[in-house]
Amino acid sequence: MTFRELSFIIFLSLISFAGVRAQDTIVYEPGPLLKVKPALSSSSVSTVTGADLYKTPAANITNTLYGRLPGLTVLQGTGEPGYDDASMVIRGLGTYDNREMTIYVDGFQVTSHYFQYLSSSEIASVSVLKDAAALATFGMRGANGVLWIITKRGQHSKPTIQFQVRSGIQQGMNINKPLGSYDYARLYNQAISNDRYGVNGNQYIWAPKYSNAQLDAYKNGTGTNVDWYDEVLKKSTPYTDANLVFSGGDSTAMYGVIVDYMKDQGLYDVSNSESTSNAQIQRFNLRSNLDFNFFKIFEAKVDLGGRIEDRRYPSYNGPTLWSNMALYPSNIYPVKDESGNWSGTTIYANNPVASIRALGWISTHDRTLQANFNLKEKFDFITPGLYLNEAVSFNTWTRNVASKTATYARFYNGVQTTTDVTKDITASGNSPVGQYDWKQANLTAGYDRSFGVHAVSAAVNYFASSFVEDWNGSLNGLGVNTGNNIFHHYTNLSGRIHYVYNNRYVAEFGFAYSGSDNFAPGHNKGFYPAVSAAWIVSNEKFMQNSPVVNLLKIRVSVGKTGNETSDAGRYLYKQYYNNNGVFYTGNNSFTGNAGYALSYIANPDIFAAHSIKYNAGIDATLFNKLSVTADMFMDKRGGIITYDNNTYLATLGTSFMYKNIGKVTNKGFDLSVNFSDKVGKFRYNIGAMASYTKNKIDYWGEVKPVNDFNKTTGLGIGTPMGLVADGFYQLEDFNADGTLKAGSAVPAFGAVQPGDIKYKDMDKSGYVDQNDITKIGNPDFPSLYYSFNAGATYAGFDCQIFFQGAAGGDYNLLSASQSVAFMNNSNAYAIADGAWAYYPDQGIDTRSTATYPRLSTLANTNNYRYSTFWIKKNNFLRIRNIELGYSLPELLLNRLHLSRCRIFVSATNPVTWSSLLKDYNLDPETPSGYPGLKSYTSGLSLSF
Amino acid sequence: MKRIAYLLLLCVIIGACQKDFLQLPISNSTTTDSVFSTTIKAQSAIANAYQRALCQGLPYQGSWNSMVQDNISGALTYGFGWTWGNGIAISTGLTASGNIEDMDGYAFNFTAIRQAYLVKENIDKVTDMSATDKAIVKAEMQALVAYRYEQMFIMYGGVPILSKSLTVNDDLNIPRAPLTEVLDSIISWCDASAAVLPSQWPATFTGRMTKAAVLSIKSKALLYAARPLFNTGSPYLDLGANNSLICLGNSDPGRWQQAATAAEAGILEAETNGGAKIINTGNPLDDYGTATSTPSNAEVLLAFKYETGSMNTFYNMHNWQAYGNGLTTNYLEFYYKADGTNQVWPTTSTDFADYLTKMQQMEARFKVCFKAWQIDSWNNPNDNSWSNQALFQWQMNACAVPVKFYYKAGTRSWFEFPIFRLAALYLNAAEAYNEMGQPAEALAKLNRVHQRAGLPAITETDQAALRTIIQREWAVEFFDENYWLHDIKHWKRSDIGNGLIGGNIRALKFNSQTGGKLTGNTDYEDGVLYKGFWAPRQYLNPLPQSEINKGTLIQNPGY
Repeated sequence: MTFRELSFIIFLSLISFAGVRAQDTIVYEPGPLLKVKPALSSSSVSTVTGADLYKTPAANITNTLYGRLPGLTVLQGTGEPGYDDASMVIRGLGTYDNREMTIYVDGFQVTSHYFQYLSSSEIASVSVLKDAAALATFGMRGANGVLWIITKRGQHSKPTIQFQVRSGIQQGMNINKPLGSYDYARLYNQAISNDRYGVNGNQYIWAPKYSNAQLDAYKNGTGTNVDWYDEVLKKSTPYTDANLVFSGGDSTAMYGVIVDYMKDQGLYDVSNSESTSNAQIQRFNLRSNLDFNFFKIFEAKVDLGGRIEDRRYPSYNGPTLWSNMALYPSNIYPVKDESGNWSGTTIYANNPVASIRALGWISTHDRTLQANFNLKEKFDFITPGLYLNEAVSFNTWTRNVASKTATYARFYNGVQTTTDVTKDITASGNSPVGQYDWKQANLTAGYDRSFGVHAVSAAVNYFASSFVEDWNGSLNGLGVNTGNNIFHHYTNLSGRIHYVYNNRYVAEFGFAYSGSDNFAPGHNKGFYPAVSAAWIVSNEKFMQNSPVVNLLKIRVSVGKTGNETSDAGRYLYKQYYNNNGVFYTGNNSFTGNAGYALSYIANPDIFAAHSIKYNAGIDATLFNKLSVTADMFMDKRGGIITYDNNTYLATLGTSFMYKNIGKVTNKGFDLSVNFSDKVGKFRYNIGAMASYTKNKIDYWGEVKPVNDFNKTTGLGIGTPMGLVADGFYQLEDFNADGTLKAGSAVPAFGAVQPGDIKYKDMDKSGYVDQNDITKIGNPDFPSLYYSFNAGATYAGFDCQIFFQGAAGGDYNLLSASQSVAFMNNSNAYAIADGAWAYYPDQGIDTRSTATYPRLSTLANTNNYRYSTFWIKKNNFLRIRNIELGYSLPELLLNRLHLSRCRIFVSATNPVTWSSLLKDYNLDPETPSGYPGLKSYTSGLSLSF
Repeated sequence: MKRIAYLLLLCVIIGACQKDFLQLPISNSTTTDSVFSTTIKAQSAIANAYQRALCQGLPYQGSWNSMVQDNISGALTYGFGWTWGNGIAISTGLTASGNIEDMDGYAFNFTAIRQAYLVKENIDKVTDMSATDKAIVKAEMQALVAYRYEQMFIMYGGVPILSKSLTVNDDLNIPRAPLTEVLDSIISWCDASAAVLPSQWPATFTGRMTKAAVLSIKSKALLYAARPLFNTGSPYLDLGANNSLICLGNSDPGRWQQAATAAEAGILEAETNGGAKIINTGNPLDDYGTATSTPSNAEVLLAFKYETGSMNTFYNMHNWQAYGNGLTTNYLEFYYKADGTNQVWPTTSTDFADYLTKMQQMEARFKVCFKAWQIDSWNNPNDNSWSNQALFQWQMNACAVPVKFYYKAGTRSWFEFPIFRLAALYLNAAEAYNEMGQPAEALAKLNRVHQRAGLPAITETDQAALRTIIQREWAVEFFDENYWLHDIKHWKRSDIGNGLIGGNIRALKFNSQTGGKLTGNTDYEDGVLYKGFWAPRQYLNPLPQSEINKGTLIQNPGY
């Protein structure tokens, strides 16, 4: 490979990293059945290459997708090794029911879990199939969009070996730490005094729990003041991955073999030993994709994608551990008691440091294998362009769990506080906890041919799928038939016909006739057609040689898809009885008679929800430098499976029926722009993408509420409903007996006192109650999701920076446990420091400056309820990735017998701008629990 | 072409297989076809019907914010600030979109009724059950329906009447029926069931409906029909053309006669065939304790039996859910001293020794029901788990804390809530006779209950004075048994807004009003604890706003 080629590759990969110019590296547009050149496609599809995803070092492939694909919103979750997937949605929220997208790898459906731990080194491309044309053949599994993944295959070339390794450190991102002991105790004194307001004859009388001497001790550092995060967590933790890719082949056989290893360690400050373990995942991937051509008419593919995932954690881990770190006050006890034992009390029983060091570890071992076989017969001897294709896929996953556990005795002030005793570590057995297998078969007949100016490409396909799991837990909803309905059977007869006239006019028809076992026999199939067209204006004579316009294409599509999955459950046509209550009879010894009762009323007509998608798009390339893709869409969902609360009166005496009655309209646009140019040896590019969506619930069986403004129909999905806060109650709002003065509305949530949040009586009923709730903000899902980037190369150096942001969503502070101070013996955060308080003798008077209701040690049903007070804008922008690389010059490479050598350093998530972060120390995407991660990595890539 | 023909053939074969491929696989879940196949399986459906019907008014679901009914009757403090009782008792009262006394909600009444009808309608499908047994099951189910309607009648007034389980294809827009129709339905269902039901069940099935139980339902319905709230032409608040939903349309003294007759019929059946009796061995503490606590004792005609779990937590002082309950002075004053005279509680700070003395002077029924400060529970003598030390939680102001239903219970986990006791039939009759102007009959019935408590016989014959005494007897005999809240509403007690539910709710306060302590209490006095909320609309409960909004039902007045 020459240096020019090398730099061209780097250049290509750089300019395509937003996915917008991915057409440059792919021959055919990713999608089912047909091989259509991107330039002649009438569908809306965006694609990113595996090489681009590799730029972000991340254990979970979903964390490499932020802002890479227009139309795909990716929201960060936790950074916990092994459970760090981001949530993904295609083109916003189209339904309030099931929103899971369908994921295909190499033409067969896979679970989200299978996708998550693919290595970016295995992946050739990831595409989002967005519009009706692209989704036409998916029928009853297409409504939520499809993620279409193609893995790397061998090329007709000399053998090549590529080796890549990178290693770095990761840190928790934006951990919100609580107040120290002094501030905690100082505010606690207010809270406990406030709680005696009623008892003290409706007056605020100072009744502190902590004396001044205690406060002084906290202040000068002699009192207990433990930063649990500091005690439990390390400053940073390592991440490593490495892979080897062998590929090559000739006209009869081609091979692509990928071996990949990844190790991701957690943030816990604990060694990996016989009795303890940090959180960690090690992943071993092996993929072997083989192609054979024989007897002229046969083309065979054998693809094996297997992997092992080994996870290991402290026995006590995850959300409860993080909740303890967040909610255990700093002054409760030192990490170790004066007796040298672990501290612990009955209220704060799980000393976070002891939780990771003294309880042992738990591990899981996952084995996954996807094995595909594909055979194509070319029947050109019958008629040119005719072929048949048969394929099967077997996909299986198992998980075993093993652990070694110990217990420890808790002490406080030298005295044992609980009945726990210190026990040595004991190994528990190794037991299976879950498995599935997925068998799929594809049968295709196709035809590709050009006649002069006419080009036709068509195929019909029959697909059958059987997914069998051990346990489907909550899938059936309501505890009905739980664990029983483990078979998921699905069939789909589909087809596409793509017609091009003179490379200018494109028309396509696609259809699916799908059947699902979710619905009643005789009523379980649906027909889903789609039509689309494109006009390639730039191929018209009048524009053919335009120096300005290199490509201009206009696309439109409309069609129907469905979603057979509902969060309401499966088999809703079947009348079930479920366990319900126990009735006791008998004299001195009771006999328990377990009850069986009717569950929801079966609906024999229940069927898949449907979606009618409209799309209009434009693709353009100008001056050979600027490329633009823009799409506008509307998604009309109907027949959404919805609990019909509205039609029946309570006199029916049972849970009502699930019906296909819900309707949602979702509209928006996707846009991507990319510009690249060079000045001498200096090449650069800038790019941006944005996705905007806005949805509205048109109908969902809501019972007409008392007031029009209580209605949720007509609002966006997940719109927060609550009261409108109107400042705080002040002393002068109350009579001497503690009642509110005449004329002010009485809240229906228990007695209020000065400093509590005051709400507007929206309907002027004299009471503030649930009839006063209204829209108090926007849904948490961002309406605008965007990214922009820039990159440059010069003399072997390359650099790039990638930003991603979101806007339009609101955050409800009550969703984070840090927002509510002291309740249930919990902690206090900086937000509580703005509390309303009035103790003039102590020099405390925040009546006019308060930013938080008066403190309380109790659950306060007036203050801690959804209201405008707690809703905050959640716009943010992150630098997702910065990378700096250097490729060795050709001269040196030749001496080293290498074809390519590049070294690089990169930073992931180094900077976040967010008002939520600035004002409340909350990360905009992962505000509590195990944080998201930032990382600093260096790496090496070699090709022979 | 041959190949295409093969392909088509293949498609046909696939199409044929597909039918089975998309069928629901066999699973072990329960469907309508299987639930009524055998007696054993049907018993699960029967059990569920009982459980759902008889749980009315009890915090059996164990929601953390549940309450016991006396939290809102003024007998006990409202409980904790987060309970439903708090809002109802002191803040907004009952509201159509908020909380009502029917904790499971209005809709759940129909869930219970539907389940009973489903069993009644499907029991004939059971293959291994005799026709006689099937007839009894049907009568049981109809009795459960009658019980739910009797309770709804008292709480809501007229409600939609169902005589079968509805399907979604039925017209569900059933309006509220007038009170008279609801009453007539209850009576006819009770009469029909009583003709079929057994007088007693074998030991393992004790707790199922008996003749005496269903006659108790009838008696209770007729008693409430005779009481002033319903037995009138002018309701508590005018509902215009729909007044028939909340009153019976006229004031008819004959309704007291019906009530008396029904009570007498119940007593006769219970004592002759049902094996029931007023327990009176001459030891009042033991007799009343047994009658209200011991499972399946001779005085209980119908009970909700519950083992462990959630409901008992609100009644059993060993659980945090019950810690908020404390006796008010308003209710304490209904109790007699053991010698039948009234106790006087000081309104100014008084030495704590006086409290101890006065508490020891109280009648047996008080001692069965409450634990006083610094005194070990009388109802579990010498039992460490019911000692002063064991039951103390924190400093608070309350006259005493409730321990009823746990007489000599020790650490027993089961709990039996007496829905109907024979004593209630006696008081039903006493009240009816007094209103009919027959004081001698009234006193005969009243004194069976009153004297069992170790108190001297009542001799008052003035109707108004005797009425007050009978009402006081209801309070004392049936504390925490879900009577008082409805009794005072249906009597239309003039002081309901001033010292019963509304107005000053008082309690004994200790140690300069800071609350009673485990030991070392110094002084006590009676004082106002909080102001109770009362509005005349609360004579009946509201129907939920979400149901009203569907357009068929008429809301009770004032909501």
